[in-house]
Amino acid sequence: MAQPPSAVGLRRPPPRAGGHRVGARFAKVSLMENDKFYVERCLDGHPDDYRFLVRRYQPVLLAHLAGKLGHRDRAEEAAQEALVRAYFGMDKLQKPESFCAWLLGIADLVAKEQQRKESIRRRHESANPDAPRRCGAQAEEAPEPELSQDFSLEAAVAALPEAYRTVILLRYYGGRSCRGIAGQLDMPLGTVTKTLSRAYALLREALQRQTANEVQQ
Amino acid sequence: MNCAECRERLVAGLEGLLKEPERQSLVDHLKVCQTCRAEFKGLQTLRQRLVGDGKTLAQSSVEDEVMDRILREKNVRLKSAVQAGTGLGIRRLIMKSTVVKVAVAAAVVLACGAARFLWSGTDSGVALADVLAKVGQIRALTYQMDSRTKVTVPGMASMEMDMKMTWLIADDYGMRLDGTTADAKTGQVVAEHRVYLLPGQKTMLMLEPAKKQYARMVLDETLFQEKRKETNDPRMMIQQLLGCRYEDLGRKTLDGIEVQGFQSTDPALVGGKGDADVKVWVDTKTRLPVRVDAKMRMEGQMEMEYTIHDFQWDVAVRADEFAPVIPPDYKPSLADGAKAVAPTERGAIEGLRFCVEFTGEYPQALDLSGVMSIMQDFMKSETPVAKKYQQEVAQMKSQEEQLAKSMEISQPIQSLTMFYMTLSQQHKEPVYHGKVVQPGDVAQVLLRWKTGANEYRVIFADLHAETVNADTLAKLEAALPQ
Repeated sequence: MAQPPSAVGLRRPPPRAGGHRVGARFAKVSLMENDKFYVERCLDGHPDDYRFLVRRYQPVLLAHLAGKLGHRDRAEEAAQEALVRAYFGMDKLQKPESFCAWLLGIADLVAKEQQRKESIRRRHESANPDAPRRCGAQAEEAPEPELSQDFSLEAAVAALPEAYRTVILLRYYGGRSCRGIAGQLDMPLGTVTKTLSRAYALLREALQRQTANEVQQ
Repeated sequence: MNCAECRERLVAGLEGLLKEPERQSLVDHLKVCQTCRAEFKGLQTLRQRLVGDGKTLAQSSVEDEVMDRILREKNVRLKSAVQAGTGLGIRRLIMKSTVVKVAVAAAVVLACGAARFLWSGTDSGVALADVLAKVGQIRALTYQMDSRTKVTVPGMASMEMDMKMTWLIADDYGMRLDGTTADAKTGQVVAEHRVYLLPGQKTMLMLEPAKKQYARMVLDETLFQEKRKETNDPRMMIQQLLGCRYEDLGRKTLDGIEVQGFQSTDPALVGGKGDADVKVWVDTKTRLPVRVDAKMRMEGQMEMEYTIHDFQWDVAVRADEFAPVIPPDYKPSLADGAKAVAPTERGAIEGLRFCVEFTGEYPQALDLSGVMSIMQDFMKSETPVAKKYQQEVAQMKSQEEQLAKSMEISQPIQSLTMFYMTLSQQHKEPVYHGKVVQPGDVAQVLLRWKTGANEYRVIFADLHAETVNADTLAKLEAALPQ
């Protein structure tokens, strides 16, 4: 009776020492390659590899954009737009190893565009109170924007100066260790922990201010 | 440790980056200092909040939406670019398209097939005759082949790939091949295949375990025999080597075995259209090859380096090793049921007709660069047939569909180029005038080759074929535009 193909093993002699093997150059690609590797793969015509960059940076982008936009769905929409724009603009990226910073820059631009559109829409609605609303016929009945789970934290992160924000985003939303961040941003490990320390201090101040404002209101 | 030192090390402590003495000092200080302990707890709370939010956001995924949007956007851009015209920027965009990648891949496969195809020759010699006699008695064998192929086409990035194959061949049952193809630059495996050549059904079956797909290709008698030739690789090599100039490299020890080497750099090994360097190492006791090292370069466009090793001769085989079972969860790929092209005169004429329909002219050349040029022209051509094809491809959602369409569309081209290579390999002196000949002229020689001492077969520019003598051919070719 015929066996299924997976069970039919071919004769594979054990490798001999010293033998010339072109196949020794074979190696499975690691999923933990650096950004530069994937950017170059995409530019070399392997668009599917962009998936790895999307996976790596989607939580970072979502946190960054949720903090800026406040709304979970709008953050997702903006993250998609930023990732698509980044893909098609990749050949303009001068330093592939700086993909993350570049992507966050694109995300900032997308967020600003969204905010501008939203502001125009609101102005239009207030100038034309009888015009149909996007979220229901009556403004009073329109649902409140659905804030991200920890909007106050995300907003505080988004408001951090860039150097601190990048380290926080990579550490907590990008799943990087301190050593990983040091490697990616090409800085000493001590600088990473000092930056984190300062970022924590700034975040705590911002969160305390938020709480104080809420209490006042 | 004082409070300032403690504050300085809190984050490193939280991250587990402190060495043991420092960590212990920190712990000791926190035990006795309430202010620092409060600071530490504040940091811990913030950290937990960040970790929690990070975990929540990690559950959201925009990956599929992003990849779908990219695919859709690429199709739109590709279509616009093709309609807008040519240029470096557009070429770069086109090179990113799946369709062209598939076309390039098809050309690479074609080129690799051609390199192996050219390993057929029947002239006999003397020095290796006893080796040939010995391998001729073999009924079943297995061996491994590792290759690196580099294809360079003007105006495009070169492609380089590594293939690793294990062959099992039995005269009575057929052939089976397990292979892996990897991108040579990155080492990433891009394809895994298991291929069976089934003599009883005149069929090639290809299983792709990673995709759980299969494809059956029906071969006609001519092509089936050619495929069988290809699979008899080591035996054909010895036979081919005997028909070429070669030298004895003497004896040496290879992997503990005393071997005698034979080397040939005769360009005839690649049909006279490139460089070759082939070394065959034969066991002095058994008179059977133990390793083959080869380097080939064809017309500066394709380089192939391969090693064949781990031969096992006259191995015991079972019929069921050649009887593939398609697992029930495998699905037919879009290529399933395709009819393989045969390198015949009729197929070549169909290929030439196809080029005219698609691009309005004949290809400039029938070598690898010619094939690539045709594939590129398809994407830029304004002819109705080409536009229809471009629209069909643009509407296809999956890469699988685009792959199947490209393979289907490129079949007549494969037949044409294979036919031309066959003529070269058989020393039939083929000459192609596609650069100067315009479609439709009944008296212009488009492709000709020698069929006898004073006899040539000619395909004219209106795609009819005739047999003419040498004088007539000379007059016809003298009348061709310069």
